[in-house]
Amino acid sequence: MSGRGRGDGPRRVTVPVLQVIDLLLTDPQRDDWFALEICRQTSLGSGTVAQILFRLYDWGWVTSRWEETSQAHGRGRPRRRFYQLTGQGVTEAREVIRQRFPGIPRWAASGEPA
Amino acid sequence: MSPPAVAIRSIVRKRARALAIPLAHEIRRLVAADAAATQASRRPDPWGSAALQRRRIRNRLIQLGDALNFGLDFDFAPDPDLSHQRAHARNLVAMVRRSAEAGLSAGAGTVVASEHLLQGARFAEELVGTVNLIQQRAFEYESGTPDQPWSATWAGTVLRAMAKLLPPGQQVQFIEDQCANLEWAESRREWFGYLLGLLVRMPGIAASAGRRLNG
Repeated sequence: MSGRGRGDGPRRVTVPVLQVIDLLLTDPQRDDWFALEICRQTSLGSGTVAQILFRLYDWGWVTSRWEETSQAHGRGRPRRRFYQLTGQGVTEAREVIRQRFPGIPRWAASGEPA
Repeated sequence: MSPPAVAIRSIVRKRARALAIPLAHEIRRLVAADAAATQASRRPDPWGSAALQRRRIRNRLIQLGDALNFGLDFDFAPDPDLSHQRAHARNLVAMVRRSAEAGLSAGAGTVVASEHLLQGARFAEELVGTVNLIQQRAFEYESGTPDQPWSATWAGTVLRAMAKLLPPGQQVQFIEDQCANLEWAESRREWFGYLLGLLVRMPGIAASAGRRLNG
């Protein structure tokens, strides 16, 4: 799975989805988020995170890439799949959070985290 | 997906690759022969070796197109990457054919003919690489069993059983990704919790993966 998803846009933005995108928005340029780390940071279960990542990819909000083969296979371990927010993901995720939590100062003004 | 059909498609893709490899070489040889004939101010002999070479290239192009038509008609729903590679391979075949035909039809030894032919040769070389990639990825789909050390571990065995719920094209990737996540667990408790979390939510994950594939 690499490149953009091909779904037709957001459908169900649940609270766990908001938790994940809130985390990813803390560093939108970061391109090495992986599932276990997202679980740690959000305290969500691995199955929930896996479903959310499939959904975000489908919406075109995240892209993914594999960890460098030389770094992983070279050391005899499997490669992680890294995720990063897309430009569309950043814009739309900020907008969703701003609409859902207008009273929270962190997001209320411009959608940019304070 | 019947095993004989899978085997035949794989063989046909190998055949396509085997046709594409010498194609570029043959085209370059023809360009060189045409250039030599032009330099020597000889008129191309319609029954000579260059004409034979032209016919051979045309035949090879037809065989290559037929082989890829069949070999790329997968018996499974490919993921976006593989779909992209397949579309790219089909485009390349069309471009090889168009460039080579344009070169073969133009006057032998002319600059235009050489340019078209050499462009066709470059596309043919790119096609070899693309067919290689497709063959490798298609094998992962068709074999269904990743031949990787981590898939033989205890967690890998559990994940492999769970991954059966996923569309065929995503099983191998899912197993590797989740085995990798487990490798990064900092404690036994985190490791077990992560695996259990996947196990409990596997039907939902499979549904999400299926939606993504069919969306």
